[in-house]
This record gives sequence, C-alpha cells and structure tokens, in this order.
Amino acid sequence: MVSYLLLGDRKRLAESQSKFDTMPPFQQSAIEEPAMLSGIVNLFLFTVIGNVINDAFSLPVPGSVIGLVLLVIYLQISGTESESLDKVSQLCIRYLGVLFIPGCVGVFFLGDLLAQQWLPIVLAIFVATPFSLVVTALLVQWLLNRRTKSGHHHG
Amino acid sequence: MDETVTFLHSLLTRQLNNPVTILSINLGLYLLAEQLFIRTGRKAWLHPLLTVSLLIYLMIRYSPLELESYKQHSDLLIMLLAPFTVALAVPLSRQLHTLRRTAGQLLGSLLIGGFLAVIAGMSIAIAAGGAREVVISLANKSVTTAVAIVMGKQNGAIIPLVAAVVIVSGVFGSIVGPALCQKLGVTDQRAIGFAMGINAHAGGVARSFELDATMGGYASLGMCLCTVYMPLLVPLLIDLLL
Repeated sequence: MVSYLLLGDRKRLAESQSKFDTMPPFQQSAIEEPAMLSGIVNLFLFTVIGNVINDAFSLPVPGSVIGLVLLVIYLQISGTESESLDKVSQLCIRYLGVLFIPGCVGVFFLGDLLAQQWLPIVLAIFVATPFSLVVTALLVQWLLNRRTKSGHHHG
Repeated sequence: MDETVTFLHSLLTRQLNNPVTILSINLGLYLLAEQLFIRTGRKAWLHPLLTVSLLIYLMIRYSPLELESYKQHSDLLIMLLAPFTVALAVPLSRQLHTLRRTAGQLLGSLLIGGFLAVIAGMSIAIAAGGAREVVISLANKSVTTAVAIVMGKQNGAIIPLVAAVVIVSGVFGSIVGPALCQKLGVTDQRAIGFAMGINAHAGGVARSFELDATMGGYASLGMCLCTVYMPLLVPLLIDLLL
C-alpha cells in the first residue's frame, strides 16, 4: 500500500483498494474462528455434562468418559457431521501427547520408588503387554473366523 | 558486576517461573522434540515425550525453574485431558458401523482381551513383589493415558508412574506387537488392530494406521471401547486381587 501511494500509481491503488473493500484480509479468519469455537464449546459442554453425571451419581466411570459416550450417542442420533467438531477433535487427538508432559516429568522425581520397585514395573510393561496383546489378537482372529465359517454354512 | 549478575539471576528466576513461560516451555519443547522424532525416522527411544520430559527435568534440576511452580502452572494441561478425551467420540462414532457388523465377536474380544490385559499386568507385578500402589498404577495401563490418569486419581495410583507406564507400554507394544502377532500366526489385520488398540492404545493406533488402514480403524475402535470398559473393570479387579 505504502509503495503504491509513494509511486502515485492511481490505477493500481484503486485496484488494490477495491480488492480491499470486497475481501478484507481478516474476513476469512473471522469466519473460521467462531466455527472452531463451536467445536471447542461442544467438547467442553459434553465434558461438563459428564462431570455433573459422575458427581451426581458418584459413578466409577470418569466424567470425561461419560461425556465421550454421550457425544457418541448424540452424533449417532443426530446423524450430522459438524465440520467444526471434526476439526477440533482432530486437533485434540493429534496433540494429545502435549498433555502428558507434566506426568512424564514427574517420573524423574520418582527415583526411590523406581529403585525399589523396578522389577514388577518392567515385567508388567515388557512381558505382560506383548503377552496379552498376542493372546487377544489370536482370540479376535479365532472369533472373527468362526463367524465367517458359520456364515458360509448358513449361506 | 556482582549486582548485574544478581539482577539477571533474579530476573531469570521470576520470568522462568511465570505461567506463560512454563506453558511456552511445554509447548515449544514438544514442537522441537516432535520435529526431531519425525526427522530421525521415528525411533522409539527418541519419542517426543521422552525427550521433552528429560529436558524439563534437567531445567528443573539445573536452572532457576522450580518444581513447585512447574507443577502448579502445568495444571492447565492436566485440566485439558478431559475435553481432549471427549474428542475421541468423533472417530469412534465414525467407526461404529463397523462394530454393528461384527458386534458380538468384537465385544466378546473386548471383554476377554481387556480383562486379560489388566490381569496379566497385575498378577505379574504381584508375583514380582510389587507394592500395593505400584500394582494399582500398573492396573491402569490398558487405557489411553488421559483416562488412565483420571482413573488413577480415583483409585489411588501414583500419577506420574501411571502416565509413564501407559506411554511406555503403548510405545513398546506398538513396536513389537505386529511382528509378534505375525510370527504366531495372526494374519487378520482386524485382529492385530483390535489387540493393538486394547493393549497399546494411542501408540498402537498410530502405528496401526501406518501399517494398514483397516488395522488402524480396528485399533482406534479397540482403544475407544477400552475407555468405557476399563473404568468399570479395573476397580473390580483391584478389589479382587489386592
């Protein structure tokens, strides 16, 4: 803009100004932001509802999980896909890791506990996890195959 | 000269313990660590969470950043765990039509597989002489970290240990899981995915999507179903075994 004014190029100035009038540069973000906000508000709203239910009935299931279930039910019933909620939840899932930083930092201050209890922790992580993973995979495969076979019988 | 040093030191102390600085440290270091992780070809031992937490630990040890103010001002991130967990509803809702076709099989697998995941971890830890709080912390390991931490708060686990155990077993399970499954004769991508979702949650889902889209879909289904199942199962098993 400044260079146009200095050069005195009236025509280009007028062009750029007319562009400016029809499409202000902040218009796009002005449209996007409330859209993002509605997704954020929805997530918080379902979290709050979940917390209220958890609190009111003293349930063992965390409020966030109750909120998750309610949101699934809501999405299934309404059948609509909110673009804003989509965007926000993708962002949340993408950067979920950031929220675990404080917890992970805390591990470095567990020195004594880890020195005494490293064996059960190591075994549970490095033996029990792959063990139950493989057994579960075998189980799922067996159950899914059984179904296809019985399906063939019926067919 | 001494005055300048003292002045700079107190300025640094004040500003490092400022909430905005602490949030910037958390987010900024994560951004850098993630870049490093991606550019070095996603080596497990360079997992961004490992790098970030080590760097922040070193800062707390060797710089005027204080543990108390770090904890206090990181509460914002912990508070956000709940709404971020609710966000998992969106992919789960989209996966739900898959569940309808094989609902019985998958629910049966979830009930048994999830039970197995918790009981295997708990019993091996008890057998190895784990203390009560440690075993409780390990019992929470088969859900995504966000839910594990909330559950841990309710059943008296050691929260930093829960976070570490869930993340490490997720990363480890997602690395060894697919190869181990194939070696033992599991060829069905859906089966590997579902087992990865139950046992290796977020890490397993990410890895599954890298390997195969179907595997990824079933992994996210398994992980999301566990967020509902585990809070019901884990308190029962803790009462039963401890």
